[in-house]
Amino acid sequence: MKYVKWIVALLLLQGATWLNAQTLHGIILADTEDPKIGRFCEKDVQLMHLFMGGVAQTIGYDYSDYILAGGDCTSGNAMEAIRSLQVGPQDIVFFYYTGHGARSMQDTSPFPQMKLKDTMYPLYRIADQIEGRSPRLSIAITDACNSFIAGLPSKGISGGNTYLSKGSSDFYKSLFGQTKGKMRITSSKIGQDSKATEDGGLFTIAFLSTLIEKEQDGSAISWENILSATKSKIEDVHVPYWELKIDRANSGLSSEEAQPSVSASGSVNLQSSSLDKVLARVSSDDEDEGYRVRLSSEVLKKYFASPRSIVEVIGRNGSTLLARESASQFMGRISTSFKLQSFVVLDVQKNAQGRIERLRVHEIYRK
Amino acid sequence: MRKYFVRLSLCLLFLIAGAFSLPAQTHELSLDDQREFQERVGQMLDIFQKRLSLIANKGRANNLKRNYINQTLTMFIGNGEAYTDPYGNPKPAATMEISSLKTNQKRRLPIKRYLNNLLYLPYSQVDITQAETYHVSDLKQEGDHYVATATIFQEFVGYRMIDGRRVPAYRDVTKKVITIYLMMEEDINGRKWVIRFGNVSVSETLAPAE
Repeated sequence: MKYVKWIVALLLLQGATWLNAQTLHGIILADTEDPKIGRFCEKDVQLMHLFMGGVAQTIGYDYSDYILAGGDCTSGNAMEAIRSLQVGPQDIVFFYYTGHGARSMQDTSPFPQMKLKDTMYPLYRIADQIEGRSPRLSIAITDACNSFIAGLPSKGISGGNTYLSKGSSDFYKSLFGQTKGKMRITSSKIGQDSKATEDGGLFTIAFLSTLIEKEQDGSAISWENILSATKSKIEDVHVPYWELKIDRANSGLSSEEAQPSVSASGSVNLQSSSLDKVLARVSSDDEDEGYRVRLSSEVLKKYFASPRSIVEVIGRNGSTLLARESASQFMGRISTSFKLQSFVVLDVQKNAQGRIERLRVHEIYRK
Repeated sequence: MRKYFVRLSLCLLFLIAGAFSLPAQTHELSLDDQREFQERVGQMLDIFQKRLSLIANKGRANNLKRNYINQTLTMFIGNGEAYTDPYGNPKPAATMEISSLKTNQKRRLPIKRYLNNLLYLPYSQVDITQAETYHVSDLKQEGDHYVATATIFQEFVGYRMIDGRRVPAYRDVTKKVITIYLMMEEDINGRKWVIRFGNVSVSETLAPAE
């Protein structure tokens, strides 16, 4: 048994990817450089990233992300990101845009155009591309205005913020793990602006509070229910619009979905989707304590540029700095922690040798 | 089967409850940030007690336990050594108060000594278990830092081998109160809020219910 563990560890440290790993591919576009709404969009990026990663962890999926913000928020980058996805039949592709939106007088799609850095770009084209990759579940959300503008591009239209985070296992497995099909969602119907407050987009707040209620009251869980309840909360201000083609699916989630299988086929370059698994292995209560301590030492040497590399632990709101530690402190702590189930890797800065100089994570504890 | 339930509710409630300030830059924390840190205290308490249990466990290797001791010391103000308090006053190392039903007395040990003593308790086996519940008070601002108290319950059982059988030789349940500091510390990357444990006091010592 001891040797098996070390073989597993060795494979992990060779740059592991998980055999047959199911992946949630997150693509986030955010107009973070907009002088009016950029600061909200910046926060949206953190929150959305954290949410998608949390959902992936909760349902036992790997998380692979593309964050295209600021000058990278272009149609070309978005399409390239979609093209480069390695989409498996059980995968989820989750696209999210926050920023300005509008529609031309000639648009026939009920969904808005996104104001990207290079051009206005319609959501439906993005959704078509994603759906064409045949994931089990495709989700495309814009939190942006959908009002008519004579002559694009438009200005002064509010964008929105989206807050998503980790969820309870059953609830999110039901929504994300046991459904198949496609969803296109936008925060306001044709001709309407979307409103935002300092706390975020109105649609997003309503959407998330609905998720909370549905999770807590245990009522029938379906995307249609959630979106209908979301609509009822904000329809006096603006009316969300969605098109769903969703069926129940056998996602292939096993009862032990959190247990990764291991392959040595990954590249040496660290991917966040493998790093979170490595860290989760170090923090796992199911592993022998001595093994965890030894593994943490190996991970520290293999992955970090120095024991003094910086690790920041970020709160659920995506901004609160809960802890800043050296890599050695961090690895020492997580290797002797309990109920520390998993990590969402928010940001990795590496040196020329591909080793981590700075890491930002969100920690997920078991209740 | 491992069942992991990660609750979304509180997360999202916090997220949508209001705007968050940037705490690392200021000496004031929003209520939401305070709640975040309170919850973090809860996680730390959980970890602290699990570590105590492992350190006292006679079935684990001492070098592993020493690693756990070192990690546990980092949870305390001054890393378990003498320190300067938030007002600039020199202070002795944080202490752990211990009690005994046999002697009905309490005494204080520097936390480092207490943890090291756990390695050598005169029993063949020691179980330290925690109650599921703990309580963390609201944070109170005192100058440029915050203070709270945490209440935990621990059951201690020391076993001895008698005629080849493991027999409980001593048991008690203690209610312990831990002073919690939330304070700014400086490192090369700037200032940051950190949570540190201070003195641990025994509030009550009871014989466990049979």
